[in-house]
Amino acid sequence: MQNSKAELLQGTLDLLILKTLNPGPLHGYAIVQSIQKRSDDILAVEEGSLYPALHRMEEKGWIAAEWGRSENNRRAKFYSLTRGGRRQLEEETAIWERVCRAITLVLTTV
Amino acid sequence: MKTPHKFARWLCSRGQRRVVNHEIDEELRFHLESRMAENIAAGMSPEAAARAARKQFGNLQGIREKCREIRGLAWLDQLFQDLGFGLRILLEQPGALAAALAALTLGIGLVTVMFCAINPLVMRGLPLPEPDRLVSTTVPAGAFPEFRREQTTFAGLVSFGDFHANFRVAAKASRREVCFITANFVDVLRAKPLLGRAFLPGEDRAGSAPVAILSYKLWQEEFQGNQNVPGSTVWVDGVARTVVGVMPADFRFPINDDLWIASEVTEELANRETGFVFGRLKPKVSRAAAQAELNTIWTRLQPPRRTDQPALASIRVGAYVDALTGALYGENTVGAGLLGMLLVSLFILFLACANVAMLTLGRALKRGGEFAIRSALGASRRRLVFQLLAENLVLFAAGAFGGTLAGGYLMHWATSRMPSDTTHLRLYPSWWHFEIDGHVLALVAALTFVVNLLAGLWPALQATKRNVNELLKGQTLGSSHLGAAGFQRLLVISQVSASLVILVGAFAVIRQRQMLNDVHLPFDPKAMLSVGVELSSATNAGLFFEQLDRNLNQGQGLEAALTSEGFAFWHGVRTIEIEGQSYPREVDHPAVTARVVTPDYFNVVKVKLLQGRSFGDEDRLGSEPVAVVNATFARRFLPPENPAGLRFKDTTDDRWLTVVGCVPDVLTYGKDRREAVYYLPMSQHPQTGMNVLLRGKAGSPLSWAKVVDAEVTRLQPDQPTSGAATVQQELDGVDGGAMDSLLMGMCGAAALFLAAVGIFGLVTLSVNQRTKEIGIRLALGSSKGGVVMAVLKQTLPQIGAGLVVGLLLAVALVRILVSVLPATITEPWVYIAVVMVLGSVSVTAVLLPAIRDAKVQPMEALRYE
Repeated sequence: MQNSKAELLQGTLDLLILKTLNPGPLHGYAIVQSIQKRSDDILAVEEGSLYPALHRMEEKGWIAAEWGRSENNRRAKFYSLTRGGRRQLEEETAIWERVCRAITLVLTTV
Repeated sequence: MKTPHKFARWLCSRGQRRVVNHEIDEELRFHLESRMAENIAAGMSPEAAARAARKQFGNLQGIREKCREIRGLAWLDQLFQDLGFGLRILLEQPGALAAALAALTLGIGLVTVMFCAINPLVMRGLPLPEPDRLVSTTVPAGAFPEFRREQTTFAGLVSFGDFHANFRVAAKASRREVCFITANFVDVLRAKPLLGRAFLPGEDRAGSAPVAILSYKLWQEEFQGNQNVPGSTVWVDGVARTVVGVMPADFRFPINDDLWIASEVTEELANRETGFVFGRLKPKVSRAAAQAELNTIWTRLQPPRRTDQPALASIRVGAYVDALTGALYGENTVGAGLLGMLLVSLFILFLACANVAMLTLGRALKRGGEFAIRSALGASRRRLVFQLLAENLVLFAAGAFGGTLAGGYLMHWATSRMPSDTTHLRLYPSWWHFEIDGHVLALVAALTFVVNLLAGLWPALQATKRNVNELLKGQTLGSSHLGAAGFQRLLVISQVSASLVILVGAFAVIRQRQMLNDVHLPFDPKAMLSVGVELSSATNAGLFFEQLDRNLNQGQGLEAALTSEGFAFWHGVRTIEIEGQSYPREVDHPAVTARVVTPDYFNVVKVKLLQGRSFGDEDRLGSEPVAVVNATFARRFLPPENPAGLRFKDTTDDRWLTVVGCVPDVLTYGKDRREAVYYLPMSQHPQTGMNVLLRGKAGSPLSWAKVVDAEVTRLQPDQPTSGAATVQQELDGVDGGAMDSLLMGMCGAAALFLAAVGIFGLVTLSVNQRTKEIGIRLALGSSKGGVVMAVLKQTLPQIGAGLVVGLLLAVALVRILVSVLPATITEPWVYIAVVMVLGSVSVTAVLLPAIRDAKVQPMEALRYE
């Protein structure tokens, strides 16, 4: 089961987090779950590495944090996209798509 | 880019730091617990669920640290943490802490004093607006008017001559520092009078009404701060002058002046005592440009030169203080002396640092286990090194604090011992303040930081270099650890050699003072008073002094003699011509020193005649002009078979002088230079100023000064005396010699102390490291003596190497000293004595810990770890 999981590509964690937060605020644990679920359990976010990334993005001003209540009524820290974060998401998505196209091209041409 | 912003927030959030850390913890806990809850829901036992959650999460501690690092300036947090920890560690070893603190206080204190002494010379400008543009020049006073007329690079050029004059307001007369100066000086210095006005243009011309400006000090002393003083009359050397203004309290420029007289300064006037030409550069004019222009003028002014005449020196322009330190004339003795002392104090600081480095290394090695565990838990080497440095910083900060306090106290004490400016002995301007100011503090702080790095970095690197596994296996303290052992050896060698150099230097300076004070003086300088009497006019001067000499020697219980200068100060350099010799060029005439004395002089200073006779009543004005010469004079100029009877003359005087006697060399110039000197009888060479030397049978020198005062007043009511001081005080004042030997003595004692403590500490450290080895040796039957010998064998080569290196350096140092100080020891016994003292202190410092360690029981030693 472990082997079927793909390691995250360098630098893609930020993009995944941004995309995950696009619909609305989430806490860290929910972000992990969401990424795992949406990737059909293929992408394994090393859970710990999520938090330094979140704090770094907060420092950069892409996301904002607020303490709120979780589903089971516990104190949890919720992250949401800022305007800068949305712009960053668009940019990184564009870059990602270009890279994907390029890689696909390389792989499909003999 | 964001660092300033982060830093500001870090400062603001110092109080909230706990909150931030707490929030990170809470966030991570929430994650773990959520995962655990899910695992339990999936059917795991609570323990297995927790374990799985942790496993999936990764390195919890590492992630927590990473988050904190991102959130704040983690290194600042760490710094505070490290400092607190450093303090606790240090307090655990009070003995070592005290030794290191004493060493650092000593080192930093001495450096602080030196910084204070040098500060006014280099760091601080003058207490005047735009001091950088004030420059001194070597423009000759005689050519000043031409220079002033033709120059274009200065906003103003000032010439002055300082000298002592008899000053009187009503009946009370006193000697004062009077400055004859061009009328523009207040404008050029950009000062403002406190009362009244500055001089007007033209008031310095010959024939204009005589005016004067008072210093604040003179105003307070003579007029008790009376606001209506402008318009009053004062007498300066018998000339009535109208006071036009009073300067503010801290204004004593150009050097140390009490009052200013507007005067075009002629060459004679400027040469009288002290004087030079200074000016304020126009904006954007460099010193080099000004110097170039002045030299162009100078070349134009000079008449065509005959080939046998030496070329006149070119004009130099330097910082204002350069004229006072002598740097302008290429003889910066003040600066060189101070620089030497600064170097010595830095040396001492270096010794102190070596001690602290040893302490740090010992501490670090002892904590090898702790470091191993911490690095196993993920602490980086950088983090550990940083922590050791931080611990050291606590120590150095305390040392800097103590050192600055001690230095400030020492400086205060030293300046209070310097002659007050009422005497002519003060050798530096009153506006130089030897105190701890921002510059000094900044320098001390910077130096502390640098030496902390020096003393801390190497041991910290050494102590953290080791392999974690090796350490955890229990191989803790081993002298086999090469880097540390090499470092220790280097420390011993450098400590011994540095101490030796300082000790030799200290010896040299102290010995020089001793030679000045004791060896060559035939009388007790503490019981010999010297008082100056300078008459305002030459009329009847001879009569006055002869009368004074007679009165003082009659029935007062005093032995008095008059000389043309103070005992330690010689100004009377003359060029002479020996009868029968020819001197093709001006410069071939020998330059010697002359001194006018009364017949009793040789008796009073206890100088016995070597040959011939002294002066007597038969030497009158009109009788054959005679002279007594000293041994050096006789050796240099007179035929050995018959010195008496030979004739010579001063090139500025027509009278041929017949040598009637010869006396031994005594101290001249306040220094040990053997100079050729000849003495003249006062009766044949009346002077306007004489110095009374006297010795009493009872009472203190101060009470004798009162007798002189009374006698002088009885002869001439408005005549002041000046500079009453014992010969000892005069000698102490020369080049601040007493201060030199005091400071050097302290440096020497400090060096010896530091070397002893340092070697003791190092050997203790290495012996402690070898406790196990010693235990094995003892268990295998080695005797206690054998153990001590083993330690000695290991340490002696290092001490020996230190002594050799130190000796080489010391020889070099003494070479430099000889060029700076007039007389310095070069006798080999000094080196031998220093080597003996230092060697025996070092060996004692080795033996004590070695013997102590040899007393331990073998089992105890083996169980030590």
